[in-house]
Amino acid sequence: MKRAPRLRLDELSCEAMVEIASHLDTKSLLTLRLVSRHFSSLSHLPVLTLQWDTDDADADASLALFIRRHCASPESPSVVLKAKEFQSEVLVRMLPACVEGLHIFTAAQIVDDKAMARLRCLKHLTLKRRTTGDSMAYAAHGIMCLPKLQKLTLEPARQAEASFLDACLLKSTSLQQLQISGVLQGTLRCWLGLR
Amino acid sequence: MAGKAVEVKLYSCDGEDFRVPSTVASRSETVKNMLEDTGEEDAVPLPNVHGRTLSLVLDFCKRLVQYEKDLQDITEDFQHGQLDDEFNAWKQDFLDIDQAVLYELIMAANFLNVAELLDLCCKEVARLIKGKSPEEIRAYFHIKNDFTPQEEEEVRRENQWAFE
Repeated sequence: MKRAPRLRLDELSCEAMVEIASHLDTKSLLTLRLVSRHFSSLSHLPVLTLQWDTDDADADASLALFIRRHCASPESPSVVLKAKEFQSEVLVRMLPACVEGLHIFTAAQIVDDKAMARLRCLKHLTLKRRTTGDSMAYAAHGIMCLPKLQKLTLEPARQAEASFLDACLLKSTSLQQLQISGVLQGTLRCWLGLR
Repeated sequence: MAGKAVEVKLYSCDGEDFRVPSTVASRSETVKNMLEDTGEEDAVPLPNVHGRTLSLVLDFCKRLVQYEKDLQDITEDFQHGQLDDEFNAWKQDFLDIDQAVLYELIMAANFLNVAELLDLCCKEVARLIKGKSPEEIRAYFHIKNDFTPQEEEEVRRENQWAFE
């Protein structure tokens, strides 16, 4: 009997699975992990995106475990956190110190010096939706504490301030690359001394 | 008068020949690199791709090249949205294929390194996965559950936070 044509999902290359996983929301990604052993290793993707829209931080021991396992793999040291609101102590509690890449889509509180000090292996940091001057001060302070930070991406840098950029560039000894999108022309000119 | 576009010859693993403009063939990074190495006169063998799949890949590349050309030619902003709508509708029709063909397309797009096609196909697979339970995914894609009950419980426990 002829077999029904099918998409051999469990025989796709790792590259294709990574591409597919990049289009899945967290819930679907985690559901896929429950399908078979083949997919249970999906936590070891190069970048893990977690869309976490809950304020109930205390209920997340299993999330912390999941992130730790993800980051324990040398091939997958990056985490993308998408959350409505994140307190720095939650970040500290959840993220293992070995994380090398972090994209944060959240409000200001996440980037204080305590949280940043925890992330001593961080090499790449993307900050999104930064809001107030306070958050930038926190971020600047924290970024100075990151001994291995090589690349900082600000998306968008609507409120970017010269002092923040100064702090990032002048006080960090490791920073090699600064990427800014949406920066205000005036801010950039001010920072570059081009008034 | 504009010169005629250079045509290149590709042949699939089952010996089917395809003659396409080099601008179309070069949407595949793999083919582009081979053409740069060997020149556009030599036929390019693609031992990993069947003729029927290569035909679909080239259809996609042709439409993509056309879309990009049309984008360059537009003079009014509203035409941009119109072109996007037309291309999206075309892509939707293009993906009206069975699972086996979709699988072959993903493998071919990956091998030929056609980023836009790989992205399109993977989005489609993601769409097929979304909203299904593990049992439904297994049934839909004919995947055997090879977890022991203990292992399954362990993974469920790890993932529990997302389902509460």
